[in-house]
Formats: sequence, C-alpha cells, structure tokens
Amino acid sequence: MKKKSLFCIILLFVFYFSIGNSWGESQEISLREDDIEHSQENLQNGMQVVMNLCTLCHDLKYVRFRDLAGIGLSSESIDKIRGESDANDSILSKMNAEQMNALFGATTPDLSLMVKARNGGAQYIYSLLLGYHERGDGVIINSLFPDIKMPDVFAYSIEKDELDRLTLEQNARDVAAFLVWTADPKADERRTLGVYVMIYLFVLTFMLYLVKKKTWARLNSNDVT
Amino acid sequence: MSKVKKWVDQRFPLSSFIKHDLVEYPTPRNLSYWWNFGFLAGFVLILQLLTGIFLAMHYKPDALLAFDSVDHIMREVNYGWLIRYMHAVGASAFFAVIYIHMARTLYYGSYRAPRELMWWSGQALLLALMATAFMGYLLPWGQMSFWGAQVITGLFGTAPFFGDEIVIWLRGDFAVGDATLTRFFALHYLLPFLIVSIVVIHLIALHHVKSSNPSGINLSAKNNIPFHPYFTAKDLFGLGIFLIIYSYFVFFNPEFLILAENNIPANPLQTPSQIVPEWYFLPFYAILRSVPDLLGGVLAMGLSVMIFATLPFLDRSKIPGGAKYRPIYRVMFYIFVLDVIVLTYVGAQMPTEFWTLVGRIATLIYFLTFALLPFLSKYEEKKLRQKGLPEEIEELIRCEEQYGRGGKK
Amino acid sequence: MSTSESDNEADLPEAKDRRHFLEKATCAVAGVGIVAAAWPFVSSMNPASNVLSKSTVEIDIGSIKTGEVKTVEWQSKPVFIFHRTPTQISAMQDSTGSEIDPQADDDRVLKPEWLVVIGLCTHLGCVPSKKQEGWFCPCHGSRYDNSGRILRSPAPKNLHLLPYQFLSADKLLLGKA
Repeated sequence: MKKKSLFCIILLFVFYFSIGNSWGESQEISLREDDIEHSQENLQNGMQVVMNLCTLCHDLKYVRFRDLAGIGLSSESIDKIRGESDANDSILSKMNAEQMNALFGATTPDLSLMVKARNGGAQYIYSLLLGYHERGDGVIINSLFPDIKMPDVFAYSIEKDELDRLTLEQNARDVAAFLVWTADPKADERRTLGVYVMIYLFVLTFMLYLVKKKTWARLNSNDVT
Repeated sequence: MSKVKKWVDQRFPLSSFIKHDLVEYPTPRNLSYWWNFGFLAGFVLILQLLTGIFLAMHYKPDALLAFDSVDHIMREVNYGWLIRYMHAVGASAFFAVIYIHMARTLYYGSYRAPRELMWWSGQALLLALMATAFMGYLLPWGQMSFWGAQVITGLFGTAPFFGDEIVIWLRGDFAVGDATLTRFFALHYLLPFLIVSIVVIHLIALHHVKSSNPSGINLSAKNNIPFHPYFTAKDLFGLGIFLIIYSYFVFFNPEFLILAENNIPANPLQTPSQIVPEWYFLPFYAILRSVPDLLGGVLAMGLSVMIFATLPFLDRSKIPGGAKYRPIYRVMFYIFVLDVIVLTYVGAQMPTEFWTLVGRIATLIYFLTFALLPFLSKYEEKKLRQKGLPEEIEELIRCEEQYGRGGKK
Repeated sequence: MSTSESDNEADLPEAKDRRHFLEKATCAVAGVGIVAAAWPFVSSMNPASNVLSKSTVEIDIGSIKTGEVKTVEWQSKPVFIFHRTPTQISAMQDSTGSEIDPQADDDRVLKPEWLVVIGLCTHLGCVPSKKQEGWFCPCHGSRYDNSGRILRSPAPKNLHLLPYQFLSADKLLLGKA
C-alpha cells in the first residue's frame, strides 16, 4: 500500500515536471544531434570565434571581460582580448542598434542568455549556425529559421572543401559550448556543491529513517486500522 | 536556565504551550505518510520567506533594471544563483506539496465536520498562495512574466461596466509596465506574511479539532500518541525525502520549469508564440480556455478554484470518514484527480480543435464531480446502509444524528 | 495518552542507550547541515563580485600638475591625490604635525611629491576642502596640513591613508599595496 502510494507520487512528479516544457518541443524542429563537447579547449575556441565574428553585431552584455577567467584564460590573455576596454566592462559589439537596423532591418539579440532563451539550447544554436544552404535559385536560406536576418557568417553554405566544412562544424559546436557557459557560468560550481549536498542529505535522511524506526518500535504494534 | 524559564512562564505560557501543543499534543497513531504534507507546506513557506527576503536585498523592482538585477543575482551575488534557484524551485515545490495535501484531505474526507474551518482557512491559503505566486512570476520581467501578467490582469476587463477602468487601475498603466511591476513586488513581499497569519489560524483550528486520520473516525484517546517524539521523527524523515527531491531540482535541473521565453527580457511589442502559465496554474488555465465566452471562462476559472469551499455542504453522506468506506466517493476521487491531470496537460497544449474538445470534456467532468456529489453521496449512503454497515459505524451515525456532526460519544 | 510504551522489548536499557546515541548523532548531523545552509545566506550579504572588482582602481596621475589636487573615487570614498611642490614637501618633512596625532611625513607617503589620503574628515566624515596651507573641513572647522595631518580639533586623527602602489611613474593602483 505504502509502496503503491509512493510510486504514485513519483509518477505525478514526473508527469507534472515533464509537461512544463512540453509545448516548446512540440514545434517539431529537427536539430542536429552531434555531441557538443565542453572541454576548456572547446570553450576557448568558441570564445575566439564569438569574439572575432559574433560580437561584430551581437552583445554579450551580462559577461564581463574579467569573467573569461572562468573558462581558464589567464589575466594576460584577457588583457589581450579586452584591448582598450576595462576588465570590468561588458562584452559589447562595436555597432549600435541604429546601425544594426539600417543593415539588417532588425536589432541583434544579446547572446549572453541565448542558450537558455531558446528551446533546444546549445543544440539549437549549433543547428542554426549550420542551417544555411543554397536554394535552387542561388538564394541562401536557413532551414531552421527561414526568416532569419542574420547572414551565413560561417559561409558554411558555400564551403565545398570537406575538411574546411568539418572545421566550421567544430567551430559551430564550440560556439554553442561557449554560449552554454555564458548563459550559466555557475553550472560547474552548482553541480559540485550539489553532489555534496545530495550525499549529505542521503546520510541525514537515512539517519532520520533509523530514528523514526527506533522511535516507533517503542509502540506496541496493535495498529488501530 | 530554570530561573529564566520560570520568569518567562509567569508572564507567558511558553512551557505549557510547548508541552501541550508540540510535545504531548495527542495525534492519531495511524496517520500515514500522506499526513506529512501539512508540515512540509509549512517548511516550504519558511524556505520561501527566507530566500525571498535575501533575494529582495539584491532585486530591483524597476522595469528598466529588473531583468538585469536578476542576472546580477545569478552571476555576481555570492551564492545568488543558489538562493534564486531555491526560490524558483520552491514555488513549484510549494504547489506540489499543497496539491498533495489537498488531495489527501479530499480522499480521507478531512474537510468534513468538525473540520470545515480548517478547510476554509486552507482555501484562503490557496488563494493567497496563488496570488503571491502570480505576482512573483512577474518580477523576473521576462517575456513570459510580462505576457502572463498582461493576460491575467486583462481578464478583469470582463467585469461588467467598469472592466477597462479596473484593468487600468490594477496595472497603474495602460498596459503592464513599471507601475505594475513595483506594486506586484510590494504585494509579493506583503502577502506571505498574510499567509503566515492564516497558517496560524489553520493551526489553531487544527489543535482544537485535532488531526483527522485514515480511518475517518475520531479515535478514542488510547489510540492517540504524543506528537513528540513519534511525529517529529516521522515528519523529519519525510522532510529528508522532500529535501532530496528538492535539491535534485535546485542543483541539477533548476531551469526545468523555467520556460525558455522567460530568459528574454520583457518586450511589450512582441508576444511569445504561445503563452503558458506555470504548471500549477495549468488546470485552471485550461478551464478558462475551454469556455467559449471570455466572461464565462473567467467565471468558470474563478469558480474552479473557489468551489472547493463548498465541499462540506456538497458531501451529504452520513457515512463517516473518507474514501476508504465509500466506494462511489472513492471512484469520484480518482476520476477527479485524473481529470485535473488531463486539464493540466491540456493547459500546456496549443489550443487546437482536438485539445479544445478534450479540455471542454475535462472541464465538464470537473464541475460535474462537484454537482453530482450531493446526490451521489446520499445514494451511496442509502446503498451502503441497505447492505448493512458494521455496528460501530451505525452507532457513530446514530450518535451524529443525536448530537450533531462531529459530536463525540 | 500513550499507554503502550512500557514492557516493550525495544525499550530495554541497551536499546535505550543505542537509541539515545542515534538521536544525538542525528541531531549533530542535522545541526552541521543547518549551519552550513546558513552560510550562503550570510555570504550573499557580502559585497558581490562586481563591487569587489572595484576594490582596486587604476589612476592616471600624469595629468596632475605640481601643486594640484585630484579627487578620485575608490571603494565609494573620495581619495585626494596631491602633487606637492618642493617647498610644501620640505615644510612638511620638517614638522610632525600637531600634538593631536603626531606623525612624520615620510610615514605618510611613498614618494614625497605624491600625497595619497582618504578625503574624509576623521571627525564625522565630511569632505574637507583644499586651502593653501592644507585642508579645511567645512562641517566643524577641523584643519589639516599639506601632509593631511590634523592641526586643529575637533577631528581626532590625521586623514587616513590607504594601500596603493605606483604601477609606473604616472600610474597609481589604489587598493593594493
């Protein structure tokens, strides 16, 4: 009886927590499924690409240059990246909103939280960057987001060389990995602390279980029900 | 130490309070783990108050700053990410615990005499909790925050004669804006203290009528045991289990219930492709959408929350206790729970023809459950008594007829 | 109330001891957890990383002419950077201030031509204004000399010093010695 009810609760939890995001997934976009690696090299390569390419138009306003120490950069390399900017400055694009509007007819979204702000997260970013292809009439469109104003910055759609295409794909994955970090720089700290908290809670709960069992053992077992 | 105790006790009934209401407080020994959820709700309330107060030290209720200040909490405040995720996950945990607590009350008929005032103070708590959660959800000032508040405050526009005026008055602006955010923050900070005071009323009532129990019959004194150490131990073990589940979400899956859209700053010029409330509002949201007429939908939604208060009147059976001895009531309970789950699911779907139909059927079943309860409970009683009840239950019913509901032997 | 506690096997003396030990151990473990759980909350009230990152400031002093004072902000406080003239330096090196808080000028500067002090009167925290012979506090009339030493009460102390270092001839780092 008790087991059954416990099972019911767990089932309910699983159910409730699974519908929260379910409508987004029902929109049926097929994303690329390759694994995105999150090693420090990947993050740093992704950062390079983002700095050289993405920040031409996009801001990363919640990320400050000094934060880049979080992906293992020394303060010297951060100094090199930030140039004239202060280490406490946000990473901002050189262009302002009006210039953007004039160029693309849209303002560019900030990238710091982009991974959290899109269903599909990193996989979405990665698939979007490589979603460009040449249509029959020579126009380049994005299969994931046909109305996108962003041009094919990687020139992936016109790259024919297989090796170069592989490099571009790796870069796209690393950009996604880097943006995962910018959206949630505390993830490692959180998980590490979480492991300790969980171990502690399992020990404590087990002890509480024993206390409960021992306490109730003092009662005679003539249950009223 | 004992001197201090004596000094206090002459002026304030501290020792006797601890003795009577925390230690010796007589509790039915047969309470199952379903009775843990009241304690858990109290714990989550304190957790939300604590994390909320610390968040308020860093949060800025200003349309231009709110989104950034949440990000500041997440990135720059020491352990800000932890406190914010505890608060966000805590909100969902609060509703999960409260809904289970309510389901237990329904199943075991704990709302019946003499516990009507507990049920009604609980209903007030549910309302206050929903209002607090709704206002709190605006504070991160993301897209879903903004449009959720926009839609829900807009519902008041269906009020007769003064609809538009009421909406503008609620918002303090022509659309949800800075004024709305600031007042929601003020009320989001205030309401929890109202909740605390209703909880005190809830508990005073509880300690007067004492806990119900799975048998549904008031137990004789010899089947009560002191709260401490038996139920302190049981409640704390339950708390441990709760904390494990809670911590899993806080540390390993904190964004699970945060919709992607809410990581985009509020934009009054662009509506998300679909507006979905938090999961705990989905059944009521589904009912709102199921009624073709907007005013009717608003009324149905309001009714769907408030209708729980009528249960002590609707349940006319004289058979004591809850679903355990009442086969029809039990079936109704399971249908109702299933129906709420269906409504929750429908609330999260795009309103296609199919889901609208499912939503309408589920809404109908929802209200039918309540509408049929007076008749079915009477019918059930008649059937059961024809079949013959155990003598002690018949005697209980006779007692109740003689001394009124909840009367003691 | 509970009537069924006695004559139970589980309540033999050894069992009782074991239970008491278990209860105490559980309380101890829970207590540690509560203290540990309090730490993030206490810690969250300390300066956030964006505040801490401003605990040191780089200041360009090349533009401060001899005899000029530049007031800069450091840790939300005004700091006076005073480029002293040779006459001011020698006058200051010859005295130890007043008997209220005597101190040699050498102990107050890294390089004699640069005086760096916190620009808050040590009396009640007003910002003193620069006068020919030092500083004058407009709130209660305290006077300081060109080494920031107190000359006239009510202020009890010399203007406070702060940790700083010269990154180059014309670049100062405030906040770190």
